[in-house]
Amino acid sequence: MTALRCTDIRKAYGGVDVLQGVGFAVSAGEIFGLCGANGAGKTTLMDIIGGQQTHDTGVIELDGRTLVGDVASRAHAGLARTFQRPQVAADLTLRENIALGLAGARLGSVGQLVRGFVAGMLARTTVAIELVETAATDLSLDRLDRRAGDVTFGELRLVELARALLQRPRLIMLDEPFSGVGDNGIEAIVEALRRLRARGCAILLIDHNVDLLTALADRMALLAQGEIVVTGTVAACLADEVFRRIYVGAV
Amino acid sequence: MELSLLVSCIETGAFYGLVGLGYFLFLRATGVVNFAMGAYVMFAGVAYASFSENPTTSLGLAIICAVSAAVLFAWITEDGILRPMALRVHDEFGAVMAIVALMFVIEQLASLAFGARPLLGRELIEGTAVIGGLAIDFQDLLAVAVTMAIFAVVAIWLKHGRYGRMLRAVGDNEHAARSLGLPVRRVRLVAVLVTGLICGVAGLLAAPQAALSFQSHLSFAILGFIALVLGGVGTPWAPLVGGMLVSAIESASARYIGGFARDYVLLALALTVFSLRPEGLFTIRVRA
Amino acid sequence: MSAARERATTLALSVGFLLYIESSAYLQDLGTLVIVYALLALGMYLPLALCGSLSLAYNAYAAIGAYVVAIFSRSAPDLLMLAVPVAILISMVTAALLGFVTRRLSGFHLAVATMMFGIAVHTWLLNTDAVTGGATGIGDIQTPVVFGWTPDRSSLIGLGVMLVWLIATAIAGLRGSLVGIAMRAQRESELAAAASGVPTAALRILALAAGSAIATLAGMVLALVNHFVLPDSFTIKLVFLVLFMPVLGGLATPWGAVLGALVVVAFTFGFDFFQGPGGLTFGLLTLGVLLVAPAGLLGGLAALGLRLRRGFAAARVPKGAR
Repeated sequence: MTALRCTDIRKAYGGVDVLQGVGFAVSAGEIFGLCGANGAGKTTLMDIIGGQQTHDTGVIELDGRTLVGDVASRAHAGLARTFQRPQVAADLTLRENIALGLAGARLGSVGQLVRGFVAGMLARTTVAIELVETAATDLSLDRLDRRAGDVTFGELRLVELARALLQRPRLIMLDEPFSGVGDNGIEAIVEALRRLRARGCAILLIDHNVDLLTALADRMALLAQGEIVVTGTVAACLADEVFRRIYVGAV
Repeated sequence: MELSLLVSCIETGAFYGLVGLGYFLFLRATGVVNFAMGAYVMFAGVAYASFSENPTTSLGLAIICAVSAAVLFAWITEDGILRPMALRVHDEFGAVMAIVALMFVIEQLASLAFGARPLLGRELIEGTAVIGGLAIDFQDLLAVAVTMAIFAVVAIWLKHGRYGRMLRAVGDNEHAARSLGLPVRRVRLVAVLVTGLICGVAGLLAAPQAALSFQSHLSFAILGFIALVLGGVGTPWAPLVGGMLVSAIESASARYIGGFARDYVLLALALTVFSLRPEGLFTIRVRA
Repeated sequence: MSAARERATTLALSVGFLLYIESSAYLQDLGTLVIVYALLALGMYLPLALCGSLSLAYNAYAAIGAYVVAIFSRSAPDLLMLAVPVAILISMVTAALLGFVTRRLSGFHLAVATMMFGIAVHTWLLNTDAVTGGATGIGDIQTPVVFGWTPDRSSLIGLGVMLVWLIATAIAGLRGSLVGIAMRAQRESELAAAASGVPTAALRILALAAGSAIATLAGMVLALVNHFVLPDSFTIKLVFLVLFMPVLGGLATPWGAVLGALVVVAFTFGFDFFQGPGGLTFGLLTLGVLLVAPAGLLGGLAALGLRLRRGFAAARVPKGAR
């Protein structure tokens, strides 16, 4: 079953065509790797799907429904993501930053917001500590009382991923999730991705490290100068002439 | 009668525009909407009025003292408050609070130094010109002429001056400007000091028009801000247009609704602009 | 400190405060001022410390509370209790509207819009004699009858103190809840909060509305204890004064705002401290705290306590080692 389908996405700014008609689909329970050199438009594409940027033309569908609206409403439609530069609240603890994913999932409508507010004032909501702890432990994170501003870049990536997992997404988009992460962390991420896939979540993985992508992904695509030049199973891609030329040229 | 109303409306508009220009430059340089700026203007105006009250004081000395006070406050804002805070706080609200506190400090300083009584400044030049049967004080002509000159100089400076051009780069993207090796700190400081200078002059021009007190800064800050928001940040001339519009709306509401309606009309105006066209009438297209 | 211990400690301190001010009418006057300021400061604290939204219309919200009570007392004394929900509703709708209009703009826009609203409300109070009594305000405000009981002055003040405790405790609870986490997170990283599904603009508007409701209560306490309202109690100066309190006390907990209110009243004895150098001193103090010790008084105390405890621990270790 197709989870994410992008059709003919175009985006230009300042007279430069950043994306010129990108189309691809990611199935539920599939890891889809998107590779390409820096500046190929990978992050722009992810921002457009996530709602952080607007696009000029094209359609994005999630589970068959057109994805529109602001960032938060897309998150409620089942989208979660991490950022190339981890985005966390530096003054909050790791635990609170991870719990943000839970907060987002449970505070969609105005009604939920008001109920959550009143419950909070009455000190009736014990933040579901167990869920947060489990998500953190699964990703080899510990000492969750530390300030997010005081931990390493790699740990912040794990915090972001834990936060995204708590949203229980239908599609998760990861922007270079391995860079700066230690060996334990990488193993934990790979493990988490396999569990997600088994659960039927679609995973869009962006990286310029093709070795990692080919090891993990089920299918992949190569983005160059705003266009998808090669797409298919990993084996097919690796056999493709264009892919090999650009891949070899890029590394 | 109608014509003299028009003259005073233009003059008030020029004053609001000048404060708006101060906002514009400060915002470009630091990314901060500095509503302590009304307090710079007020302090310079009240200082000038207080010094010039004594007929033996030389006007030149009063002018220098008043303008340098405004420049000094601008400098303190940048080097004493905003820059040290930016090193530590990553969100905007620290700056908002510091600006509000600073505004209050300058207000209280003015009331301590010059008293709470409203003061009227001596005219910078005396005499009256008769133009088309209408008597216009030289002071009014001077105020409008100085305002126009300041706008022209700032516009040329931003387009051709060394720091002016760098300021545009800094305002667009401070990180990029820094990595390009531009002297961001110096550019910011120059723009901030120019802002102080403009506010000082605005205070000088306002002081002989109406008696100022230490509380006048709130309306200066608000009206200058609306002038900026109405005009937008697209060109340095935009605050002037915004100032003229604010002044016209203000005097029309005073004439047709009543003097006290000013506060309501301005509130309605600000809310309308915020909700319909927060980017102002003249904007440069910035990529999303 | 654990939440339960914090609740018990602050409750004990509140009761102690109440017993202390019971001793004289003068202290009761000062105590009322502390209650009013503390409620205003808590109202400002909620959107400011949790969401990073600085609203400057707190004089207006307090005025709405005070004047709605006064007007009900004058026109419909039997329905005086109804003034409470009516005033709160008016304030919340206004605050939400001001927040909504500036929802996509910078915090500076919110500050200016709310400041203008505060000024406009003061102008309106002064100039609409038929409704507000103009410059002389409204007098002879009656005490409401609560289920057949007419509270006297002491009871009203006692209720006020309990109100402060309840609200500060509630805000402390909110801080750690999911909504509180979402609020604080969006203040620092709107990108992260929105991507997690937090409706950031709605959250800020909610905080602003809740803050305005708390400030409205402050106005009601003022009107009910004093039995009169004057427009000049609600100038923009009140906002500057109130802004100092949470900053001075410390933004890490709502009790900082209460402590700030207490400190301001203790140092000014309720006199108009804007006379003379008092205002300047407070302004400089606020700037100084913001620049040098952003944790405020309570934050400083907590840091001191931590250092002392560490000091004791360090002093104990060598003994054991020997």
